[in-house]
Amino acid sequence: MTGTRRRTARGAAVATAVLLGGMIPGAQAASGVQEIDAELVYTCEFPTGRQSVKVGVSAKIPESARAGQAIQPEDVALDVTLPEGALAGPADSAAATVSAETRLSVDVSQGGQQARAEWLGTTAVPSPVPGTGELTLSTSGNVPYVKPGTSGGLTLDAAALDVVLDLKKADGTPAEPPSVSLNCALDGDQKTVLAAVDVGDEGEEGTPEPTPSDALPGEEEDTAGAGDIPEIGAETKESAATDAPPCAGDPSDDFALVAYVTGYANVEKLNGATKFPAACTKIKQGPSRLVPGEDGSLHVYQDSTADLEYKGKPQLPPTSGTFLTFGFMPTTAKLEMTQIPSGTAADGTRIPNIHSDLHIFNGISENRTDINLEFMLRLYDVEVNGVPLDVGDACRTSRPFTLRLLGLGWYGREDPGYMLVTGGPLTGSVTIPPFSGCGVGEDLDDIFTASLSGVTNYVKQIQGAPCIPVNGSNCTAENEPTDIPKATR
Amino acid sequence: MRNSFKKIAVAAGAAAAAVTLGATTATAGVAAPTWTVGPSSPLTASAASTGTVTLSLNGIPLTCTTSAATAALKTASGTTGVTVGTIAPLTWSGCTSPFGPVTPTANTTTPWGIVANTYASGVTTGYISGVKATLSVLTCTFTVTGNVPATYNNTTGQLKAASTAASTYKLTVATASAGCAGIAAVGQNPLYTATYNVVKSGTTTKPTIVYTP
Repeated sequence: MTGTRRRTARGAAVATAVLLGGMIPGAQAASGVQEIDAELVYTCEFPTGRQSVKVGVSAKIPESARAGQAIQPEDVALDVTLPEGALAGPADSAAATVSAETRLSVDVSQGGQQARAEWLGTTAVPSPVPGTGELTLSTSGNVPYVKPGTSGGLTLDAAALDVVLDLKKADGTPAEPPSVSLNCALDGDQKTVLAAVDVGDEGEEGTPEPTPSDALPGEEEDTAGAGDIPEIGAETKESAATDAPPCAGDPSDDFALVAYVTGYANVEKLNGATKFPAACTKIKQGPSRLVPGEDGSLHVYQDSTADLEYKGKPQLPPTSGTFLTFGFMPTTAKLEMTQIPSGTAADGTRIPNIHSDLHIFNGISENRTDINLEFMLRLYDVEVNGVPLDVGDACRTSRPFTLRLLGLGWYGREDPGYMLVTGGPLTGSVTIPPFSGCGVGEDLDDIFTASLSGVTNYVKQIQGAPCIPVNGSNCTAENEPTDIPKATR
Repeated sequence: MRNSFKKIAVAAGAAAAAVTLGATTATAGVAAPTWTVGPSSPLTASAASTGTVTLSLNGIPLTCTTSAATAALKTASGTTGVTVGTIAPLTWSGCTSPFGPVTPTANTTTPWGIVANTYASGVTTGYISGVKATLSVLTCTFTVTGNVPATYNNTTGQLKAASTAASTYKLTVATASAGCAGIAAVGQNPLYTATYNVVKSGTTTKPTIVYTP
């Protein structure tokens, strides 16, 4: 935990106060602060096997609050102590430094109802990996507030912990393995309560808060109160067959393909997934390169270029997402994913973002297709608890991020998997960077950063069979793809 | 028989052999060399592939689960390079490649030929002539034309088509679209391998082809 991180956390707290000031009439500062200082023992799954990990949790949280009042934990920090040798790897690729991201699940209970908040943290700077002895990694970050709907005792309990370790060699290049993900479970027979908060009645000046079900007609009555975390995209009315956007290919282009793609992206922080409706992808097929292998096999490499198109822009069709800010506040937003097209090489050709390797041997082949797409994510039409929140026109990720997708296919097997010509499942991951430019007259960046950024999210997209306009394969009369895939998880 | 005759002809000199053959035919009244189709001629035959059908180009395999054809067989005179039948139509199905499914289309507007060259122990060796087919995968479309070496076995009723890099009879890429760059180029020689079970259409009778010198 560093000064930099502390400032960030305070910044978030300030932003939170600004938001709450606009959102919660009558909200007042709580009196009295309690300090959380817990020592917990987890058992984590390391690549080398299960090992015990000590975790210190520290934070400040109000001793008491009123119903409808936000309880904001501050100065949240975790000290994760890894046992000696936990990061040992091959000598020539051993990690010299390690960075960490932590996600502590915190169960919030009140009156028999429970919800789960995620406390995220990152290390400020990489830590050297010691030759001997334990390694303690300190992480900190912004965490969501808790807003009790009624009076009564409220408790926060530590639950599962996930840790992602980013390992680098001394020269700064990725170590082997480049990262390690740890799923950690609390050992039994230990006190897991982090804090207890006394929640009183709203008071005369207080205004009853709208419940999530009030804010989101159609949701279950007990959606938030019972801790039933809504999924992102649950509100999306989506039918690929009817919502597929125009996607006509150019029959005069010898190398053109057009294909629909649809799928889900998990948002790990929110235990949910958002569904992206069918999007039009325009692919420029590149030439094939045949490279014989030393073992008598043959590699066929093919590099192509994919550009999304939606209403003339390189975008996925906008989709609605429902997620939680501060753990409890149901927030809806339109998500606009805009592709940053791959660049142009010195010879004027496009830099490919699809790389296929067909490895042919003994009459069969294993095919690998890597697709890397650069995106910016913009949020707009945001509503928090049913109340519009003006985030401005430029509430977007602070930098582009890469969606990496992998398609595996097999020629000569019953399940062909993914092939460019047939489509199929593409899986991968994406990590959303921090947000910037959010808010009009007030800085709301940290709120969305805390809710959406920083954790690797699983993505599964289904590509349909492409229309090949030059020969009419899989094309409608308008040279659009006939195959409109359905998203699967 | 014909091979023996050819050896004699080579030994005696081509001109002399021609004179001898002509004299023999004229004086003894022996029938001209004939490729005889049985059990009757002409007959219509049906061919269905057995096992996998393969076309490979530049080491990239294309396989089809089935191929089927109809052939018209007819007794014909001559010694070598004798057309004893035609093929039309011919189809492939269940075809795939490392790139994914492929749909080859046979162009039999001008029927392909079944040409006999040599005969031994009930096996006729020759080739399939006038092959013309189009293949498409992704944006690559190319046509293949030419000939495929083939044998027909009277006992098994199997027509085996199999070309190798050393074959006299070759298939050649005649046209290739821009999208074929790196996969197929004009002038390259794909290799075709298939075995067909042949019967007289509507029966289980295996046709025969017998050479009589």
